[in-house]
Amino acid sequence: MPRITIRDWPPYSPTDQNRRENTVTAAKLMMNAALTAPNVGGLPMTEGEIVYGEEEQEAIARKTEELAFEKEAWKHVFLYEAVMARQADALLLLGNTRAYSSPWDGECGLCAGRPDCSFVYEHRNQNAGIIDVTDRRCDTLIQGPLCALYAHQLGYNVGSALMVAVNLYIDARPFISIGLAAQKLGYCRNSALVIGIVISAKAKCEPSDPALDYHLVNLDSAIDAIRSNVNQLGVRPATGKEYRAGDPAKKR
Amino acid sequence: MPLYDGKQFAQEGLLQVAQHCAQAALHAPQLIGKTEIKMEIVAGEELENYFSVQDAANKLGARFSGETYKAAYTMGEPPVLLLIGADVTPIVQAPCRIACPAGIDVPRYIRLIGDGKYDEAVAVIRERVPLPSVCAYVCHAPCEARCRRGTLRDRPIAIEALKRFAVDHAGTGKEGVTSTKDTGKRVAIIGSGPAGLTAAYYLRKVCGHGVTIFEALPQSGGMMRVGIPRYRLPGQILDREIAAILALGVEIKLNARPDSLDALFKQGYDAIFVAIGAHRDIPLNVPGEDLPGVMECLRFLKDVNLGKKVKMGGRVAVIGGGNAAMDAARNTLRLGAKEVSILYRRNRAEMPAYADNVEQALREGIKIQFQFAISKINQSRTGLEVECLRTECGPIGADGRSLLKQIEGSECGVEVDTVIIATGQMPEALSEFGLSIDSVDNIQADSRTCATAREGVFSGGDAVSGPASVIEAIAAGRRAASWIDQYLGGLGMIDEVLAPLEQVPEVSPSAEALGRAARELERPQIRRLPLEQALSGFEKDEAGLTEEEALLETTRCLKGDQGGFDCGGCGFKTCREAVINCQNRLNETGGEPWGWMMKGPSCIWRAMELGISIDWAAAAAHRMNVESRIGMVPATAFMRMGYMEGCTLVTVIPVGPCKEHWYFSPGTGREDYRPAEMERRAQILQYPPLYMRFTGPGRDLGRRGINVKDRWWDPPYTRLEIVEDDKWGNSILDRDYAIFAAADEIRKKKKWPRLNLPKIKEILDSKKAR
Repeated sequence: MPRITIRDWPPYSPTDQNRRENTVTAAKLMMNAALTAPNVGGLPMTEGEIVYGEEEQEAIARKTEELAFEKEAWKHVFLYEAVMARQADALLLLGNTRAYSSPWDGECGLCAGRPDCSFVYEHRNQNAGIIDVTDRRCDTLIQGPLCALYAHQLGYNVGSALMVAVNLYIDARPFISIGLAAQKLGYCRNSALVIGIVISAKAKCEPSDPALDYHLVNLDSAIDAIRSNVNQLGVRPATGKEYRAGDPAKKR
Repeated sequence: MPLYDGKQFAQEGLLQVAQHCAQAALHAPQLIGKTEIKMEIVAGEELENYFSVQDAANKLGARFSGETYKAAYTMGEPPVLLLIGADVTPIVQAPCRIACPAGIDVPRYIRLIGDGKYDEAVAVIRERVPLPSVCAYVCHAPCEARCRRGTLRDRPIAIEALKRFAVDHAGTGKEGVTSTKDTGKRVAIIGSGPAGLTAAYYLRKVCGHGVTIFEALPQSGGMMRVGIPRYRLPGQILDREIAAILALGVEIKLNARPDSLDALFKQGYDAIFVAIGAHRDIPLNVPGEDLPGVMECLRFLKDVNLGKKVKMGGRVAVIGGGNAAMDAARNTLRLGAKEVSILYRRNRAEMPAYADNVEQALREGIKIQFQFAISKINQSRTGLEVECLRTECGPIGADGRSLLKQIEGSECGVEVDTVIIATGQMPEALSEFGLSIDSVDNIQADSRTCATAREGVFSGGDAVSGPASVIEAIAAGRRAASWIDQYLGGLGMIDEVLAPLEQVPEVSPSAEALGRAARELERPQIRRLPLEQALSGFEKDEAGLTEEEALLETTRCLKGDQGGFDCGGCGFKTCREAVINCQNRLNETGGEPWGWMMKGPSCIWRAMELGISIDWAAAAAHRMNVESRIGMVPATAFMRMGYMEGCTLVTVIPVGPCKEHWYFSPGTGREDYRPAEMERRAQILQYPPLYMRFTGPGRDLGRRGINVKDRWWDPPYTRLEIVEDDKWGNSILDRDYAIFAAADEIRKKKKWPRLNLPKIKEILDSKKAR
């Protein structure tokens, strides 16, 4: 039996659903743009997934929050971004499948080692230059070293996706934290490097303009606080009086 | 003749498209917001520089994708190239280091002080500044203003005091070393101030040129000797620093002022550096300025510092709000003045004097009267009367300072015996030098190269910038030394590695842990001499830190250069580790581009952020139906030619006419000139060695020293093929050197920083298969 989730709040109204589904359409177009972005060497290496749905987004948001508390430098930023993952209409995840498993072999010198990709090979179990991708043990946030040029390449993909969002007038913003959290949950599992793009179509573009202490003071928590205040202050003073008998405000 | 030249018109259109692309790149969304995008547009004849480099590589069998640009160029449809790049190296650089004009690695020497390694701490300072003690005693410490602890509701680290502690407790170091290099070239330096001495140090010690300093005054040191009071910079400290520079083999001629630059060239000097400072007072231009009892500030300071007797009364008014005014006022107290006031026409916030200097002046009892504009100086019955008008600050003007308004009817007078005018300084107008000067007599020189309009003559320091700080003059001296060396045929590389390479830390301490450790500590109070003792002579009025204070103070440092994002994506566990790797690598290669294309190591996030901007720029051209693509290989040549200085990752976006085959089918029909190479490649592709099928061309893991566990491909595949590949690999290295050499020719032509070709050759040769 599928999970049946019941919650009083927030309401997912039909109009709300329509708006969200439109952003999924936009996300699909963004994914296409990411795939047609210029590729280093013309090689296919882009992986993408669209995450849509309250439960799925909540899982990514919680993983982001979990990561936030692993390191002081991440805490503030990751907590903010977890809220954005939760409140987005959809998430587009873009990853690079080659950065870990097959460096560019172009002697570019962009990574930390000698300009012959040996830095990546030497830090991997490999045989005849074929890297053993089954070894996924890692004690850092990312299993480095990655091919820096392919990391740069992922920027092209992300840029193209964002360009489409701009053309469609959809709010979108890329986040490291959301991509990493999603990757740890198994999204874009062929990629060592994933970027999460938050897509949203609301009157207020919160990802680009978050309030201070956004993980505490955000739209959801503000609405919830208003409900609480209305219950406490707005409704209770009127209890015990029949509103048809007279408006207390007029008597004041 | 047509109304307009169509091709010219098209070029101008493309330039506008390129500008639009640049705009798009700047507006691209950011990922971490820490990548400063840099862009340059290359068009027209500038492209030919690129072609010359490309041709040099092609002769050796390269397949430069930019060949298509050349084909388009020769056919009269030249593209416009937009270079986009950034410094994408890992970033944990501490803000204090960024703030230092000379780029001293502040956190590193603080750590070394904390470890009790005072000599090594001074060596870190000396790597960027040849006058470490002077710097420690008189620097205005822009680093403290940016100290990360200072931005966290705490007081900044006492960096200046720590620096002084290090130089006071270090041994003699390496300053006594005589340079044995000799290029046979001679440089004349006019002026022995901080800029002149710095240039002399590097030109003699690092570059090996003969250096003679001409100093007009009877003592060396320039403004450090005659402008800065002894209670701030003791004479013996300055003597020690200058002696160390002279010990390198630098000759100095005191009381010597060259008649002309021509005379110096006739004496056999190959280059001249004019670092005469700003030793002339700017007049106040009010009536009564020439009355007896009215003195010029610099003249007064010079006389005091050179031990001359200065005649002055008990009541002194100093006019001005700069450091010279503070120094003059504090000097007068030490010479016996009873009542000293400073009259300044603006408010405290707009005072150019350093805050510490102002505080000390107030502590010593000097009265500072703000919003007083001087209108006239009269001879009075008891001495002098300074007539003033009160002012008020209006809206902010174009120069960033408020516009002053004089208040009518606010006339007042101040009775004094002596007036010292300290309203600014400018260089002495040396018309015999024949150098072009601006409206305030500052010498006009290129801010980057210090070159003047006259060949072989360079200028820097206060003489060019106007009055500035010692550390800024030192930074100018460094620049000048580098460019003079290049002018004389050297490589202009003046950086020294004096401190031992830093060990990579195992783990990065979190800012919270560091903060907690030092939370209980407070910035040490700088002990000063009792007021009476301070004012009784010219003794240094600040006592240095004790060893205990210094060591405790080092623990307050938040180590801004150690705490990073630490994602591990670049292969290092901490960003700090990556940065040290980067620094060690630069030391190893002399700062040259290490790889075939780019300079690593890179922060993957910064590289990705740059990618987003590049994609937006390229897409912007397409939206205007103009063809563009992203090219990496041509960027190599541009980087090596000296374009996009400071960037470690650069790409080229050609914006060109809509003939897709130019850019999307590069090389078609244009590779005929190297048939042998193409034939060889075709053979390899037809019968590739087995390892190539798995790992791609050009990859011989064994040759590159990579630990390959199983060389199972060797038999039955013949060794001949592998040897063939080695030859091919070696030819790539030769081609690489050819690109460097051709690019260096362009740098030489453009008078840009030169490449270290001998070092590059050494590195490339070491990579060759034997």
